[in-house]
Amino acid sequence: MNQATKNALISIILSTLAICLCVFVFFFFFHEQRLDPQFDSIKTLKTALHLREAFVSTLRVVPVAVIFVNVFCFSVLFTLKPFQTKEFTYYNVSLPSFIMLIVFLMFVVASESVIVPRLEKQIASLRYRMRVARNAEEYARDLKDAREYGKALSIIDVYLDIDEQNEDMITLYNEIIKLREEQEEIRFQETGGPAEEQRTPPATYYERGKEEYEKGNYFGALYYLERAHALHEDNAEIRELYVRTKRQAEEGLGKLTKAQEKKKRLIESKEKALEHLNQEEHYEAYEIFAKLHSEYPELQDLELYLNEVIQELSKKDFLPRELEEASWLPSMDNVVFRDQQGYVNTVSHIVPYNNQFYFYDITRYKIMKGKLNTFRWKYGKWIEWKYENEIESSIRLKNDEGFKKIPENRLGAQNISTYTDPGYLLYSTNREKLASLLNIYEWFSLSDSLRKSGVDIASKWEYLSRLFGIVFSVYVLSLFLSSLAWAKRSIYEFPPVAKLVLFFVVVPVTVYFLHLLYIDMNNLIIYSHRYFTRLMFKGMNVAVYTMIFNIVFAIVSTLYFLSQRSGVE
Amino acid sequence: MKFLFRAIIRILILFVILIVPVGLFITFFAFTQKNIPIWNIGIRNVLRFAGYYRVPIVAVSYFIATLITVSLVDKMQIRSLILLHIPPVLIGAALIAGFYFVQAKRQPFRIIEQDIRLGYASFLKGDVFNEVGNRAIMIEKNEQNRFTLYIHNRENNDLQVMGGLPRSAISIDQKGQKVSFTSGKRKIITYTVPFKDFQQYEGVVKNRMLQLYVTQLRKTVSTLRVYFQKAVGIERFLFLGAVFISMLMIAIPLAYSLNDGGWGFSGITGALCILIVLPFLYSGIFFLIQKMRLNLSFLGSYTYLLPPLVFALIVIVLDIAV
Repeated sequence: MNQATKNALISIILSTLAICLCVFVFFFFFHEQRLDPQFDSIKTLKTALHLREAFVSTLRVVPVAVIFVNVFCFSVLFTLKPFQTKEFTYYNVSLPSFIMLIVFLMFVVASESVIVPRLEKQIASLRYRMRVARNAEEYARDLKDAREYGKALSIIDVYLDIDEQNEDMITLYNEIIKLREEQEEIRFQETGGPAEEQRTPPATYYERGKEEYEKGNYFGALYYLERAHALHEDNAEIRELYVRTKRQAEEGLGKLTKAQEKKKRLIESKEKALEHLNQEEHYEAYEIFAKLHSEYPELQDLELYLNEVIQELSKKDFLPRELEEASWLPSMDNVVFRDQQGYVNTVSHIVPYNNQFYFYDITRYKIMKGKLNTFRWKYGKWIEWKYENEIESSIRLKNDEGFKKIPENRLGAQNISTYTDPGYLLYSTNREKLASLLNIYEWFSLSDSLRKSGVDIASKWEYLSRLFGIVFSVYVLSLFLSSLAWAKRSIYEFPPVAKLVLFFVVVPVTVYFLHLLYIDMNNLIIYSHRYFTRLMFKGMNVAVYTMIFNIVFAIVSTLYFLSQRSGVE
Repeated sequence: MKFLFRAIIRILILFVILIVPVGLFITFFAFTQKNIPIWNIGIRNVLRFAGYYRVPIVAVSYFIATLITVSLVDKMQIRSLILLHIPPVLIGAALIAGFYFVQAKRQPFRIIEQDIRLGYASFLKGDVFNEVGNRAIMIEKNEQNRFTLYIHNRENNDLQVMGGLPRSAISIDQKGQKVSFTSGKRKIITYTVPFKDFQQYEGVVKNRMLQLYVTQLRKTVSTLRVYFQKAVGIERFLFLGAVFISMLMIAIPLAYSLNDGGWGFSGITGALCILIVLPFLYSGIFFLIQKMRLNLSFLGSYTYLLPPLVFALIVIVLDIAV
């Protein structure tokens, strides 16, 4: 590598880096000025957000920067003294420029197809977390005013998870703890003694059952010993304690229930519920346990069984209470989408939080036999469950009811089977935002599903064709303008300052517009595909069609680039 | 003579090269100015609209071709600046004469028309929710050629559904710039959407910087049009000739002065600069004339000759300086 080549390489790399750095700094302060002042207090996220936003803006400018650097180098820089040695040839600068152009092109492809979508997702997530923090602060203050200190503290925990060094929130947290202590002190004075100290519960069912038995809580003990006995049927020690506990519980039951018949019914019902539970028929078990628990709230084993069933059901169902508790979180509002069952659904609010999606006020529309049918639901939750070794997912709908098994014929009406994950549906009415979030893999795997959902988004081949437009714009314009710049290059030892200033003002803007024009031209080529395939090559892929045109432009510009000579015209 | 011939050939070649992109640009720009979405406008409509905009397309292509040629011309071959005006004037005169003889009498400079065919597909993509102002509209076509229209209000989450619509239920009013959807047998419901609410093209023609420039350009053109409409008969052509001469008188010396044999590329940047500055310059001069209330009685009814006179003055100063 001779000196000129080395200088050319360094100039191109440093010029591009310098321009990108300037653009980055500019955009960092630009985005900082534009941030909503209500997010000012969330300092940890603010800087992370601005950095990513500036980075994305810079990456979007990279294609223009690459073209401009090439024009600048060939028009001015390569004509300056350090390059003009006796051995200098056009080849000395054109080869490293071409190699660097290919490297930059690879970077542009990676940036457009992977890096920018990834950063956009991070930005969306940061912005949402900022909204969560802001809502948490407001909600915690409201709860504090309503003297619900325990809940307020749990909400502040949400805030501190996001921004753990926020002094205002730490102060509020301490303030609420103080208020809660005062409240507990008053309660202690009223009730006459502190609450029992919590002990660490024993680890196994047997140990817990034994402990409850020793305390004389035979119903609590019965629950644990039944579980322990089911797991270790051969264990004599467990069996013996289980039998003893059962006897004690039945005696206790006799004291509790006056009528012997009622006692018998309870035992039968419980056995039936246990049978359902063992056969994983959770809805049936829930129905019986819930009824028994409401009838005998003092029987702790029933409560524990009920909790266990609820835990199991929560994997495939939900209680409206869960959504009511999450309603303070920020939401995406007024979303519309089509589902696999052919309904058009509108949702008032969608709350995404901790990998859960909560839906509020859902209305489903479908035209059946020429008549419009409308179904309204208050709540919905995105549920994923295993069914025959495959993960099934849908939005489970309900009004105010608890856990209730849906009959087979009602499954479609009470479950929305979406074409995609709800995370994408959040942006269904903002196609530009959604398009910026998708990386190349997602375009290929999801664009069809998103279109079926009613999202106005380009097809995967159209996306690829557009990507070609950006990449070939950089290639063609860089080579063509560099060649033109070299053909009309400066022959001064140093170009006139006024003209150089004019160059720096006019050329970047011109390059930017030319880049946009090339992308527009590429869009026209994509559009002309429909006419072309009507005339010939029916069914030709639009990406191949666009590629052919771009390759022709690339060949012409490469030939023009190669035709340049070292000598002055 | 050889120089003149070369310059003419260069201008003509550049003119032919530029006419397609300039034509497309002006046509698409005109579409967006009329709020007509262009992502599914149809090649026939593009050609038809380009036909109606032939005058500005030819004028702009010619002007840019002239500027680039002058800014890159070899200064060593030019004996005088006046000589440099001859090739553009010749081509410009030929173009104006062409317009006049071919169609000016039949269609005297009727530049803008809206005789294009628009259908619902020009505005709405099928089977997806199109973003239309604060609403999202989806149109579904069934096997019986009937449409179902879903209109989702993104502010209050209300969804309006119109089913079984025939094609005639969707009407497009080009003059009123609105699309109407009508449904119902007993109770007729009409939903109207202005063109501007539909998803517009987001390419270079929507660029803010360019919009600023074109707004300025439009102001200049509308001022010129006022002068043009005031004139009658042959005066109109005198006026156009005066504008044409004035543009050449200011642009050519400027481009020539920015032409640098030692750095050819700076000539191109200079030409671009002139292109950017010129509409502002024209507006500035007209503004000054109106503000200063100059006594133009000496021009009689030929007040429109003022801009070329002003430019001639500037050029004389510039010529002395160059």
